[in-house]
Amino acid sequence: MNDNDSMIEVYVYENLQLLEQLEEMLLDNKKEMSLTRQQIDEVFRVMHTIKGSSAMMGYNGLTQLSHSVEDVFAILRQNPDVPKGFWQRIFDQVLECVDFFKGQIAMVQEGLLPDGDVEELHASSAELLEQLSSLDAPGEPAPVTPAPIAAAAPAAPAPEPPPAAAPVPAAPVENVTAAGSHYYYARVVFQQGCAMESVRAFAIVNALGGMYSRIAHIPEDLNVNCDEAVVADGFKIYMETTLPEEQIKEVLEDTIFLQSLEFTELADASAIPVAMRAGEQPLAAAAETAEQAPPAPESDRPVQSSALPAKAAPKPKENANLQNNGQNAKTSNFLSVKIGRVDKLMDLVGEIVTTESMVSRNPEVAALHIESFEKSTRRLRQLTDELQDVVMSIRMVPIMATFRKMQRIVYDMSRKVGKETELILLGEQTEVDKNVIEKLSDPLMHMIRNSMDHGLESPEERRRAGKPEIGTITLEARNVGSDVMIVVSDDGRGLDREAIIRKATEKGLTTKPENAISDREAFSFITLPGFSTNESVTEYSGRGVGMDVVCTNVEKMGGTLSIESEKGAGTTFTLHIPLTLAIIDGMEVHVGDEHYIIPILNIRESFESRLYDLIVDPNGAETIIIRGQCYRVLRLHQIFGVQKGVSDFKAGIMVLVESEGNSVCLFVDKLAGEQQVVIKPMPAFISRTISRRSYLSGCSIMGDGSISLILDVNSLTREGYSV
Amino acid sequence: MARVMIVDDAAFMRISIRNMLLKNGFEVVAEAENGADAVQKFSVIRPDIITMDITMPVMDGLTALKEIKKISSAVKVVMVSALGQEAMVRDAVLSGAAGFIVKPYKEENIVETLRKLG
Repeated sequence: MNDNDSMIEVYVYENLQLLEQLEEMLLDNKKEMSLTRQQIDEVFRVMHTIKGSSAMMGYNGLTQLSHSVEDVFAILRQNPDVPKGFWQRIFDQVLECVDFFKGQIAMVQEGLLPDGDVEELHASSAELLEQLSSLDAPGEPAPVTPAPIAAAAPAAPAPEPPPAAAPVPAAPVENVTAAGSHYYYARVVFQQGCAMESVRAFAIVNALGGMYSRIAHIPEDLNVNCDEAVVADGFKIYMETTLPEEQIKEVLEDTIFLQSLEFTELADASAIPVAMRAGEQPLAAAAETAEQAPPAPESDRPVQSSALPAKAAPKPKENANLQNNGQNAKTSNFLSVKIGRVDKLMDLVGEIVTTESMVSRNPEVAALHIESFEKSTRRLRQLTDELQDVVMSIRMVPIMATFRKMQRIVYDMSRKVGKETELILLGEQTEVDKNVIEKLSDPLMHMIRNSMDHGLESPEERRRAGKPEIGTITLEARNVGSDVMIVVSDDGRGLDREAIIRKATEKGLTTKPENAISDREAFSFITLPGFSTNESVTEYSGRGVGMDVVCTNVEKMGGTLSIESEKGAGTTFTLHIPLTLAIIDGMEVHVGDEHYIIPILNIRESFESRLYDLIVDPNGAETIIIRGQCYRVLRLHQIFGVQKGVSDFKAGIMVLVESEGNSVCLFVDKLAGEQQVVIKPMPAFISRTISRRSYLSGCSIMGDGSISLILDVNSLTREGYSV
Repeated sequence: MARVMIVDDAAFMRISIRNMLLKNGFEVVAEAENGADAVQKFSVIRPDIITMDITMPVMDGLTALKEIKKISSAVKVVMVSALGQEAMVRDAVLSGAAGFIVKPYKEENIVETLRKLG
């Protein structure tokens, strides 16, 4: 990994984390709809950090945008008392920017240039800034207003005189005019691109502090930005001093980013085009001060003797602990690890488990019946099992972050659809496998949007129905066995059973009479593709794509979705999702010498094939009829080309499997039993040698060290239908 | 070569400065995440040069500069500023900052500044 790659990684990681924190803070404050002084500082700093690192990476758009938001908060720091309505706009603006930044950073992560258009967001920031400034008319945006240089520089009011000004000799030197003074002209040109040239000029005047009796310079006012003038003409200094040329030159030559220095002695003050001002202290006095109170040399001040700072130091630290308690705890107790490393660890543990079985079940050793060996292998097995559990648990993360995202959706939507809504989160600490969490976000988002758009009534309707005007959506997660259960419920109008059945009949999805359809069946129609009873398509939902996408995603994860609803009282969506996608409950089946795993979730039933008659059509396709339904039969030994498999139809076993509403019967030799298996990706050499590998979703190492192939039921059922 | 302490609340900036300095033969003896952290580490580690970010939580860079200058006037503090912070940089110059660089800076900018001081 080269420097730039690792910098990109840090950039992405750090800024995303900051944005998350920022978003969380704003959403936590949405009730108050304002921020405390400390929180304003925090937003300011986050924007400042993003600005700095984006500038270093050369991401101009992001730099520009973060700068404009930073400016808004710079003013808020001065005057946090703005009207509530204004806060609302600030919140919206920041949240929109957060989204934009996140999107752009995601592009960076993918190795793209974050070149999204910032114009609109930038313009709205600028507008906010302008209005804020007019709210706060007498306020001065610049956070620190330094004393004017004329008074400040020569007096050097800093606690210690700057090092450059320290060594001032007391003795006057030769070549002194009648008044004892020389006049010098110097022109300093800075290197191109060193930035803040006017401040650099300011620093030169400061460094010369105490070395002149009178001074003048062009540009004259260095407290305002005059970078362009300094870049164009250089920084011109005129001084009257009793000090020799070399000493002045030495200070000027020490200037950082010095491109060139012109230095000439002037005959008298008549050639000086601008008015000179006096240094506050005459040179002699300055020298005296320097002598009387020389800054203590570093080496003379042992660490222990610096009593004041040493005592002072812990104070801010305590402060830091108070202020940053939460954050400190976060950083010290958690370690972020690349998911790839955890996967690698998981693989290794899998290998260890296999090797352990191979050693402890080695037939030659087993034949020896060594008691002590058996005892130690038992212990080894215990430990490897434990190790496997621990590694699995590393992948488990709280569902909190996903739930938090929903807060944001409710916040955005509640105003756009004009329904004030409270989102109640329960069980945010419930842990779910990282992969599951990633796939859960979209379905949850759809469901929340649906609830807000269709489920909840308008405030007026709610008032008429005798409900509180503010609608409530509850999002709850809970562990149930090896599943996680997620419930999304609202207290809205509930599903309209009649309308759904009417629509389903119109669309030809059902032919049953209304009274023969159960509630469950009726509600499940809304998860079918293209089904929507909503007449108007809104920005958020009503296109009839929401719920079927939810359903498909949930099924892909091996989960289920059920819907309950009561007219006028609300709707509840319940998801059951396996805790992890890395382990499944499987049925091991044998075909010849081969072992296959069928995910239990896909199995509807299994039975002996002699109980049914095989029907062969003229194309050779085999089907059987079970309870009046016709099912295609797929013989695994044919599909995978297993030579020794049972071919006599009456001697085998049928497993009826279902996926995405399609079912087929798989013909196998025998069922070997149910067990939990760890899914491993298919090794390349297997992918190359097995012809029909598309019917396999992975493989697994069994307890005895043998390998089983996991069937991809989805592609098998599709095959069953395409033939 | 000079012993340098890097003070910045952003890990990105710390790593970026560290990489640039190490490449050019500087010795990075400490890193601090905020001003208070910097003051504390300074009194123990005593670096020759400090690169000091301005906007930081807990204690900002200006305050830290003043605190550190109270402990030692000899240490060279280079402020790491950004456009828009001119007023604060002027204040830092008056408080004894030995130099400053402006984000986004190039590697040669920071190296030249520190070479001139060290």
